[in-house]
Amino acid sequence: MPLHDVGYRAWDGLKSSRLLRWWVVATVGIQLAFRSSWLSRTLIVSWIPAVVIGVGFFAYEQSIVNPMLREGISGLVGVATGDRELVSLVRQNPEEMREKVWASLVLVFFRYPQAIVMLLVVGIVAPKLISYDLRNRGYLLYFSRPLRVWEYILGKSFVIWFFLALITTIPALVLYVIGVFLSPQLNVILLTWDLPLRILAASAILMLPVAAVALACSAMTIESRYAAFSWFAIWVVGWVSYSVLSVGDRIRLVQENAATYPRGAGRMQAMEMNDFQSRWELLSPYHLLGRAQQWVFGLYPEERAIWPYLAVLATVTVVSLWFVHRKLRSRLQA
Amino acid sequence: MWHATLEVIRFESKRTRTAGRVTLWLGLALFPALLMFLLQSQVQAEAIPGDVLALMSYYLVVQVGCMLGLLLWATPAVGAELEAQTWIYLAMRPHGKIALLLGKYVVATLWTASAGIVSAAGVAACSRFPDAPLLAAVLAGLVVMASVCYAALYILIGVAVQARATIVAVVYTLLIEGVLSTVPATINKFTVCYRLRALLADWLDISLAGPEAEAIFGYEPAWQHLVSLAVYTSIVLVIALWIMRTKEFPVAADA
Amino acid sequence: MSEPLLQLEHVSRFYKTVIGVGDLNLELPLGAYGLIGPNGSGKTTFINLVTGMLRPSIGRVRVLGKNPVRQREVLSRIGLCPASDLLYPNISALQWVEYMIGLHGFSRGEAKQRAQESLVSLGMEENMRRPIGSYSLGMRQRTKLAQAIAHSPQLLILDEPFNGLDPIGRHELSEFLKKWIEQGRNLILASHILHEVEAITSAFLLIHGGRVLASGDAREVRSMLSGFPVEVEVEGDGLEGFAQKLVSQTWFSGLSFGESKRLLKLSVTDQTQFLEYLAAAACEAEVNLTAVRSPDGSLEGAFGLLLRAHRGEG
Repeated sequence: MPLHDVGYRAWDGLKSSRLLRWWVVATVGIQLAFRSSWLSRTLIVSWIPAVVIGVGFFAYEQSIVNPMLREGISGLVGVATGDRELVSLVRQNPEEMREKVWASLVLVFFRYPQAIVMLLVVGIVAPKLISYDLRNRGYLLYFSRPLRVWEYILGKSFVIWFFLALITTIPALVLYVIGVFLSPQLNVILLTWDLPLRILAASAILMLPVAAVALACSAMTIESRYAAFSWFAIWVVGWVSYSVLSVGDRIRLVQENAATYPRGAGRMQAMEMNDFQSRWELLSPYHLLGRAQQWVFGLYPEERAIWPYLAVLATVTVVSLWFVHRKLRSRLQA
Repeated sequence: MWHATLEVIRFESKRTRTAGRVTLWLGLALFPALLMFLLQSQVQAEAIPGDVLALMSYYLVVQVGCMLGLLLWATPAVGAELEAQTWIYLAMRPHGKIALLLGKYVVATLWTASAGIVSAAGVAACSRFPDAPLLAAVLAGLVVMASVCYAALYILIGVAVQARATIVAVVYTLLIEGVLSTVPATINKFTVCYRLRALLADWLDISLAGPEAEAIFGYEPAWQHLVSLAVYTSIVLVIALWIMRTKEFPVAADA
Repeated sequence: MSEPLLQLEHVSRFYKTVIGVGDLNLELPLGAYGLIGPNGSGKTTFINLVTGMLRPSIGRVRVLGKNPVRQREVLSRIGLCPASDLLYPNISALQWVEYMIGLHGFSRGEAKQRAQESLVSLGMEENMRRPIGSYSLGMRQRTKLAQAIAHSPQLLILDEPFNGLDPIGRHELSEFLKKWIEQGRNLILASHILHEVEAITSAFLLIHGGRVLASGDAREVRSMLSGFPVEVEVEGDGLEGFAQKLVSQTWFSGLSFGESKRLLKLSVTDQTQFLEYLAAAACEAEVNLTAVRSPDGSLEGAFGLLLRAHRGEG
């Protein structure tokens, strides 16, 4: 047999499409990830917030038909979303505010419980995705087959996207369906038809940069514990940087509106203002994603520019993917 | 056993003196000071109340700095050896496992505390706190205590759940030390963060109004907090040692 | 009277529902032994029990008279060279072996000296100061062996030491182990490569499916199985007539022909009587024998025999 006539080329049977080579990498990665009992337990627990928000959908729909519930439900909307303006609008006309309330509840679902779960799930799944292949030289097995580097990266990314979809996209879509079924009339679909599309768009905004950064952490080392550390450190450092540096912006805002915010003890509470936005959010991945998702759900203030957030997310995604590609190429050429 | 522990300390100190680790050490040491400097450059002098500055400095230097340092250096005590397939060599020494645990505990504490002390000095210098030397001294003392306590805790996590140590340590820190320690109830007294925060409030004379203040900052005398931390650390270390001695760690299965 | 090397009393180890080793009962005097078995037979579990890495689910283990789990001081008299690769890329062999010896309680000066001596004795003099990450597999094996012998243990345990070694490496390791035995030290050598174990020691334990099938040397095993049919192959012409006459013999157990009638496979219960018969038959004009093959006396043959007995194939 000639040297270049590698065994598999003589295969006469049915081969999968060339375009689906990455799918093999993805399915193997998903199967391996599912061997972790920790992951299975986390995935089960991750649906609990969906149940809670689902109850919120039900309660809101009930307040439309039962005005006596309106006061209490509008209060709960205020607690969940922190949007004082929305609360008063809901009290006046909950049916008209349905689209906005549904979008707010789904955004709350993405931003709070699922952001923490996302951190943990990706922290369980992602660190070993590439680092193990590098440590054990498994990448040689992959690339001795007709698999391109980008197909490998796509397959590994899909593993992360899959689990993110399990904890965010699918529960959010289920929430929408629950909301439709719990509504007094089916024509609510016509009023909220865009919400499933926004859910998919918000999921894409979450999945692309998160997967890229997680893979970059995994590709930069052969020791999965350093990859896991990097993953968590990025979020912690970003959050802390924003929390500290935004104090300056808060103080400046309070000083500029000294008449509005009382002195003394009340000033501390005033500095927690919920409509506050700081340029330092660009340092925090959590806040970056939050603003972008807020924009997708149509809840972002119109007077403020969203492009810096989207630009940073896009840049981080591209740079991370380039890093992963370069790391793998350099290994193959070594 | 003590000779073996010293050997582990010597070997780990030498082995971990790499460019990457020194860079990380510098990052941990300088990052809080950099943040404080950037913050102060945005605002006028004394715009931020002293109490807020002290709390912010505490969280930056003691909580965040220690957590990140120990996540990296204490949590993977056993996991790193298992992953590198060197565990069996250590376990084959009569006191190898215990020496490894104690040695790595000391090294992790030293790395984290040293970065924290430098960080405390930097933050105090940049903070415009009325008594910067006092702030530096208090933060340095707290960072040493935090390093000693949290290193024991993270080592225990690393020994008990070596496969998922980082995740468990992060969840523990966020839920227990982050959230539970601020719950105004008896349970928060069992957290390290409550004790350290109470010492901070005591030594810097921080007083915040409101019924939650006592529950968050405590009212016990300082010696009680110190004794609690010492007892807590000892118990955690003893448990870690016991697990290390009795647990069967996964060695290579039959080929 | 010196303590036995190993005592295992009704030792079993379970991994949930899988039996790692089952009901091992043996007492080995001081000496050198090969632990032979195919992959997955329980060799590494056996070694882990002997070194205290695992506790037996049932039974009692004693090594040099001590329980390796509870009386861990006995580990200072044991050296282990495990099968797993060494993955400390950035430190040198000398630094690492010195560290390993230091963990035994030796002073720094003595640890350094012992580390150097053991590495030099294994041919690592030129390379011992280079990082382990730059070593070939053979060098890493020698480094692993150096840390196992540097503290002068009474018992050396090696798990698959020949894996990945080139022929020169295998030869050098074999020579080293023969010298080790000649010095009166004890050895347990776990391997699935039978002829390499046979070259070093004649005493062995055969392990399969988590059970010790036999211990001793190849001839002792054969005498144990003296009534058990042995397979013999005979090649030549006129074998059909030869086979017809065999059927009436008392030591005859069974036969089959190869694809051509020139190869005859026989099962015989008494090899000696068969060979006498064969010698007489070879003189007959109708029979023209060209070859006779039998795995007589070799470890591989003995092992195959034991496996057949274990499976109940008679």
